[in-house]
Amino acid sequence: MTPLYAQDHDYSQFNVLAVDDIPLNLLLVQKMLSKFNFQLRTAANGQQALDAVAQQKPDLILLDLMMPGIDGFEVIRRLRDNPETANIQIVILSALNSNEDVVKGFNVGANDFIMKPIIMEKLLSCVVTQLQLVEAQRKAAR
Amino acid sequence: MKRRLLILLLALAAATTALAQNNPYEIDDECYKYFQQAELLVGKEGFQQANDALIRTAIEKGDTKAQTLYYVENLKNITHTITGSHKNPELGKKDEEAVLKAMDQLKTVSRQLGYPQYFYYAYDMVQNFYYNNNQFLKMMELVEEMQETAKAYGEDYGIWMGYRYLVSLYVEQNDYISAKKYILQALDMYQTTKDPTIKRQSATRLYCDLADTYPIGNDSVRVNILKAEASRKQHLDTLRCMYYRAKLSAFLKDTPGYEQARDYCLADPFLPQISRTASQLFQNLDNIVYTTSGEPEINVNEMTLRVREVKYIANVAESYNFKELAFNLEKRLVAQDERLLSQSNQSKLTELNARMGNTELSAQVDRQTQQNLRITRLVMILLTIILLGALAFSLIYIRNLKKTNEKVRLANEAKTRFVQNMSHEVRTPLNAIVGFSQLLALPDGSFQPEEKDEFAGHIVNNTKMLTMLLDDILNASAMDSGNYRISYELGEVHFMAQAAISSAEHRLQPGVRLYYAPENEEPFTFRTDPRRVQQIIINLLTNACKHTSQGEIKLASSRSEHPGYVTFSVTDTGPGIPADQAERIFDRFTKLNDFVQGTGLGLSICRDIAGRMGAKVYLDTTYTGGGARFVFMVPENPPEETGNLPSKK
Repeated sequence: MTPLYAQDHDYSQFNVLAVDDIPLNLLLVQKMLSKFNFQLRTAANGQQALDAVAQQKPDLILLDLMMPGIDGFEVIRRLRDNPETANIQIVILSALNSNEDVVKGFNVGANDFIMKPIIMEKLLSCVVTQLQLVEAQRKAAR
Repeated sequence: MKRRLLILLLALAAATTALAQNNPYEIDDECYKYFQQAELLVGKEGFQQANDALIRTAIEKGDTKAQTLYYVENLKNITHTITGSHKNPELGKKDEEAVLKAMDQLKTVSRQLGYPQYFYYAYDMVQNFYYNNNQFLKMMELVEEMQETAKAYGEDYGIWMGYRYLVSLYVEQNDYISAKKYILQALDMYQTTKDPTIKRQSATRLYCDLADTYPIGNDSVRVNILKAEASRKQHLDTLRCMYYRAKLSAFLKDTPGYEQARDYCLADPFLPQISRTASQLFQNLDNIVYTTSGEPEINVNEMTLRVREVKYIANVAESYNFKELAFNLEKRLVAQDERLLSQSNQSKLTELNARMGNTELSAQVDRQTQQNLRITRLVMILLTIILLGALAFSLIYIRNLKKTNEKVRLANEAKTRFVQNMSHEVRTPLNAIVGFSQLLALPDGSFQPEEKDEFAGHIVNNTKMLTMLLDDILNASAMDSGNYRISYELGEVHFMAQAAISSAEHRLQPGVRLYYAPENEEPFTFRTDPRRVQQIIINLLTNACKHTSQGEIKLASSRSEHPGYVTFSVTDTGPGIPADQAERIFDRFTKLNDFVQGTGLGLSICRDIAGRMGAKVYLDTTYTGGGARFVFMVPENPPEETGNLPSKK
């Protein structure tokens, strides 16, 4: 069976934001997701991420947790507190790997959690699932 | 009795010689004047007035010693007057009461005013008084009392004086066995005591008395006289020795020796103090020594109670072959003995003797008990000290334990943080390695060859980074186990610096310049561990690279900054380090900025290694150029150390 991410699908309508303080990690995410045709923006820290959301609301945020200044947990909290941004899909990409961190991530409102080092298939499956979920919600809303 | 009076007068003369010195009692001068008057008038008319004047002035002047002396003189006068006046061998009850009252007064006053020497002087005078009045039993009771008191006060002097009185008494009673016992005790005490009053006395009298306890022909007599001569301290001692020498010489028929000693004695006004019957003894001895024909004339009337001297004369008579005379004297002694035995005194004396023995025994038991008590007390004190020590030790131990616990807790926390941190630190390069490897593994066509080269580059770089991380961890653990060797060889300053620069170069952030600025271009080679030196410089440079996003990083070397050391310094234009963190950054797992990569072990490792080679690493807190300046001083002559050191805790 062909995995979902390998099936042809048009993602051009989607807007994804990747947030990480390590440029190489952003580069890696970019390269891994390069086969999809959605718009991918990047932010280097929590504040930049909030600014980018304010500028244009993304459909999905791929969010690192440990960042200087506003960390990933705080970014999720702020987004969930704002009705405008409360329904954005958020997937955590983090080197934090303890159960406590994972549970905490879901508790503050993350939709999924991917540990680093990133396994490409996992990331692609997750992103595709999240985007198709958004698509389904939109269809249902119409 | 006239003779007794004479003795006392002579004693008075002896006392006045002491008085002749200028106020030897160190009392008030006016008091001293009255005291002298009273002293001279003892037993005479006008004494009371002089003594009354003494007490009046003493009270007026507030001189407590002079006040005590008033009671001394009072007792002296009473004993003197009574001894001098009554002719009855039985002592008047009233007279005795007066003496005892005066004695009690002196005893009380001397204690109250703090002159204990006069306390025993009171006993001394009254014992003498009883002795002179032939009241041996009473004297003995008094001696007993004095010794008990002295024991209670812990004053050896009183005990010692008691022994001496007992000696005199037993010698007088012809009981040489008992006398010898007390002489030996007194001598023993003389040698062991620390009492200064005893130490001031001499042992001459005791040795002479000891000589008396042996039959005159025995060699111990000569030995003890020699000992007595050796321990003389004052004139009376010399006189006593001469007297004993005269007696011995007479017995040994050493006529010139006898004559010399006899003449010396007879010329001395103090002779009666040695023996009251001395002059009669010499008279008798002369008669024996100089009689060539017929029976020598002997008069022992005055010696009725001096059994020992009569016996001595008998011995001398025998030695000069006057057998009949010797026999007569012995016969007389037997009669005398019988007479003495019949006296009630004797039985009482025997009884008292037994009591004395018991007292001695109980005193011994007392001493034993005291000693046991002292040992028990000592043990208790020791136990208390040990317990207190143990308590203090446990308290300190508990406190240390708490401190250690706290340290362990902090260390544990640091370790936990480290493990979490490490997990993150390891995962970051690992993420790149795993991620880009996956991209490379994608089927051909996914990425351009140039992109693939770039991915491979990221993988290599991050693998290096991971390796360094692991090196740090392994180094730290090697340091902990003490398994870390410094190996000295020759190293060249510029070479080490350049090698470190090339190793750290790839860590530079874009746009940052790294360069080497030696103080002196001349090569300088010295004995050190070049690999460790490079390792530390690389570590410092890597740190600088991590924290410097723009500007420059300078590695400098100098031999003049710290003479005797090659000083490397790494100066950057990063954010700098607050001075209060200057030491903390060398702690393990300390990272001032969690978002800068690293184990937080680098500087701690640097310092450990530096310490092992006699080098120093520190943050230059005086540097004000913006950014941070780390200094690394390497000794030009390595400390004599090649092996492993115990790990630094």
